[in-house]
Amino acid sequence: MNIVARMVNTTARVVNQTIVDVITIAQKSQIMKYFLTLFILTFFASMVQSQTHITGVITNMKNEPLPGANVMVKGSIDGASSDTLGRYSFSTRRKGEVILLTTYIGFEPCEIPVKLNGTDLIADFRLREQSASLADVVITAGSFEASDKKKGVTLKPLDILTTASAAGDIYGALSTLPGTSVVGEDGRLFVRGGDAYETNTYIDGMRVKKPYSSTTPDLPSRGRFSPQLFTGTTFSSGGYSAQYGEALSSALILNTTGLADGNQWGLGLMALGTTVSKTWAGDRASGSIGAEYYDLKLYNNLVKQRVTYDKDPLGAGCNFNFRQRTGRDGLLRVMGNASLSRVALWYPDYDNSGVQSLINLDNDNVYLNSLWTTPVGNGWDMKLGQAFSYDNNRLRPGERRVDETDLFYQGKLTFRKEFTPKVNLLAGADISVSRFVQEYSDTAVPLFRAEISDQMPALFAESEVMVLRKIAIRAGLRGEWSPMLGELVVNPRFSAAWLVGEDSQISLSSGIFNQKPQEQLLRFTKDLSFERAEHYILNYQIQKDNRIFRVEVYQKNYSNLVCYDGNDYTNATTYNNKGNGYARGLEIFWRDQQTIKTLDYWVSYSYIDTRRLYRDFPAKVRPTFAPEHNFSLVAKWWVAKLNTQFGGTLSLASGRPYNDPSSSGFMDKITSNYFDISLNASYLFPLFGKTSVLYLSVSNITGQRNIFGYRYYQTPQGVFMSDPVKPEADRFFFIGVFINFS
Amino acid sequence: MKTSIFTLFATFMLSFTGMTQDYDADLQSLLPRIGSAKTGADYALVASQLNSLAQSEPGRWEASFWSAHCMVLQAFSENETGEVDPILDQAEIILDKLIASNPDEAEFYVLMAMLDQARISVNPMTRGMKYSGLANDNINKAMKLDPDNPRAWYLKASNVLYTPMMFGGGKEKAKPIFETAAQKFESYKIRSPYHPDWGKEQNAAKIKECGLD
Repeated sequence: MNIVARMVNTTARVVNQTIVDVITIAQKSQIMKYFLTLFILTFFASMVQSQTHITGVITNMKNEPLPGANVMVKGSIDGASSDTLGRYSFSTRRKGEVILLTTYIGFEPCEIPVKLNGTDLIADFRLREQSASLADVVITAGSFEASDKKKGVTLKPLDILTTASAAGDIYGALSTLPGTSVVGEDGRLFVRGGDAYETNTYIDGMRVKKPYSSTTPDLPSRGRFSPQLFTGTTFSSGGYSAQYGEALSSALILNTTGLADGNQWGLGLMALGTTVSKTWAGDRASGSIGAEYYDLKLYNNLVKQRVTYDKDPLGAGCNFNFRQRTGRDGLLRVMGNASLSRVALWYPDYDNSGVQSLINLDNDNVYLNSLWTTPVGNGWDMKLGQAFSYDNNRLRPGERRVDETDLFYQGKLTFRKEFTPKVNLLAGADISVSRFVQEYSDTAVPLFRAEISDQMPALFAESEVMVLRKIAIRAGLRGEWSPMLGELVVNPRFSAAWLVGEDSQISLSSGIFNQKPQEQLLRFTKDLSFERAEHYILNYQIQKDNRIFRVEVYQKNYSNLVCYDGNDYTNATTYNNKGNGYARGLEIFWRDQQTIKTLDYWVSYSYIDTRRLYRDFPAKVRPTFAPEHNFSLVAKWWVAKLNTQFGGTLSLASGRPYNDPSSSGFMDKITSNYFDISLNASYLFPLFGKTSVLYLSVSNITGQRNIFGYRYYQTPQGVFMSDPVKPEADRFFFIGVFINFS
Repeated sequence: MKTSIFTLFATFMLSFTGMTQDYDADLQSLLPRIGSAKTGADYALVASQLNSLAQSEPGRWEASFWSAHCMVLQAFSENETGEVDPILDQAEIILDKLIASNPDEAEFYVLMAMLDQARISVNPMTRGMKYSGLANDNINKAMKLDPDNPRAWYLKASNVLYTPMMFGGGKEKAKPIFETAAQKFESYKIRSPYHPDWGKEQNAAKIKECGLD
């Protein structure tokens, strides 16, 4: 109403002065008035005629009509939008040379210069689809990106917490993605026929040397870090960026959260233990501290375990998180974590059948990480990251003593600039300083001490470029120098993505990946080389709304794997880099969050063909951690009436190879298939104005007797006896309540 | 006779002003069309007309603001969820520029909060938490600058209304905030004819939706 009133006012003001003049003249003479009216009428009529009528059709390059596109006389408000047949028409009073501008979402704007002189005009437009910029492309070959960004979303932190089989463990949730194998007695990630050490975890770009909890043989470990610390996870099963080194098979890239957004307390009460945390949040800084304690004594008394504990697993830890904005766009993040764990259990002594020996394991771990990101001018962004870890593991199997201390520091400086939306460059350097000390002694052997130190610098550069309209390429180079090995390696990496349709793309990734031999192998000789893998990955992905389908094939070639003689492993001369192998396979992934609004499910299938000769293998065989087929189905169903999310995971895997020393072949036996159904429920309820969660989960609901493999031992009579490796208990139960309050 | 001459002249002058650019007059002729737009295409046309006008006088904020506003309404009217993000991306670019040029205008943050709420509609299950949080941040910024802005109160209440009960939302929690918004609507003095003036009716409807005492 305001607007209309003002409109009339404005118009009146403009017109008034002229009217006064005209009216004075008009009063002078009737004739004058007559002519004037005539003149005005004629002029007005000519004005109407002098409107230019513009019509036309708007189509795409294939001449298909585009309904709802807009045509304007540039710089004016004269225009129209196209109808369902792509036709438009409008009139304008503008005169002379003007530009007709057509815009439509998803297409490049199109301009046509025309001359307006009152004669009807026809102007047809053919619009070209907008060419993609790098921000629109995620190279999906080998990579499951799971950030909060719009594109390429496959698995978010919340998804990890609510995956039934994961029990809140990042690695547990990732093992429902294609490319991974279920290795129940280990708990670590095994990717595409690779051993667990071939997968490395990176937090804010820096390698985490000890990402898993410390554990005794045949009991699964868990990740040390809570999924809630991270906003984005990228799980790469191959072909990853030149920023990351020291991983032969796979990189798990975790990015921590930014500023916290509210003051609150958190309290978790579980059958296993307790956690407590406090978060402060300000405009430019936030911080949190937390502590946790667990003791499985109560749980182990309630749920029968296969292993006999002398001291039930016990642990305690504390952590802190600090965020500070610097300048306008800078952010400093610091996090730290200190924890200890204690356990002692009875383990069958295979050297003396019928006798059990006591294994005692104490572990202390400290982890610190900081990352400062800031613009440094001229469009360059800088990232300065530092990570430090200390891990002390004291294992006492019977009379023996194995003490390991692992120190690791990484500093990393990266610069990145986006020159145009189609070209960017990243370059940087890092240095990894590592020191590993192992002391071994038993009643027969005097102290054995191995010390392994290295300061490994690396340089890397990588550029992403949109070439042609629909193709993005990423090319990178990484060089590493190990003074300990006296060896320099250069790793070229290359990826490309071709946007074949509006929602689909084909991408490929390839590269060379090097990793230093594990410390366990360097104890007796340092005369070894980097191990090496080549990856070739081809991927097709289609993603529409909230459905995603992808299929991937790959070939991975291993060379320079470390081999030694298992019967004489302390002898340095048996060590060499003559191992090799390959892995190739097909993987399928489907996720649907669309068909039923309250149901989210995903299905993964992996087929793998792999053989390798490494470590003390006498022949090139399929390793025990690479079953041929892996299948998993994860479903989550939100029932609003009950405020509850129900979840289920079905995991299936074909049998795993194992070695029976009484048979002539090596690793020629296969275990029975693996089958597990896990269920969970999360009930959300308000308490003190915040949301709290009651969480329940149970694994292996059907009570399937899964066997992971067999351990063999010889009786004094020389007969081989087998002992199956089984889960600690048939089922794992979890119950906990997590309360938040201000 | 006088009146007829006046009418003729008025028409004449109007047609004349149509030929040269008159930012205010054009803006005044476009703004009512936002209210009468029905389909996504209607909104898109007004948005691009406003955008075209904005480019004729880059120093002024009104046409830019209203074109972004129009795009947000267009996003709300879209049925195809795939169309929503590209529209909002455009609106966000415009709005980011406006905020950069004048970080103290509360209405910009109000609109940004609306934009965040529009993003939720694409996938409430996965986006709800993140974008209602972002919307809240923007509402708080708006309230800091203009504590009596009724639209900020209205959006705050809507955010609460559409937040599931166990996350601290629901009708009961939202109603008192809508009622505060209603009071603010009564007393709020619009700062210029180009400032937003919507929301009173919607707010009243929401109070009804929340139920009577």
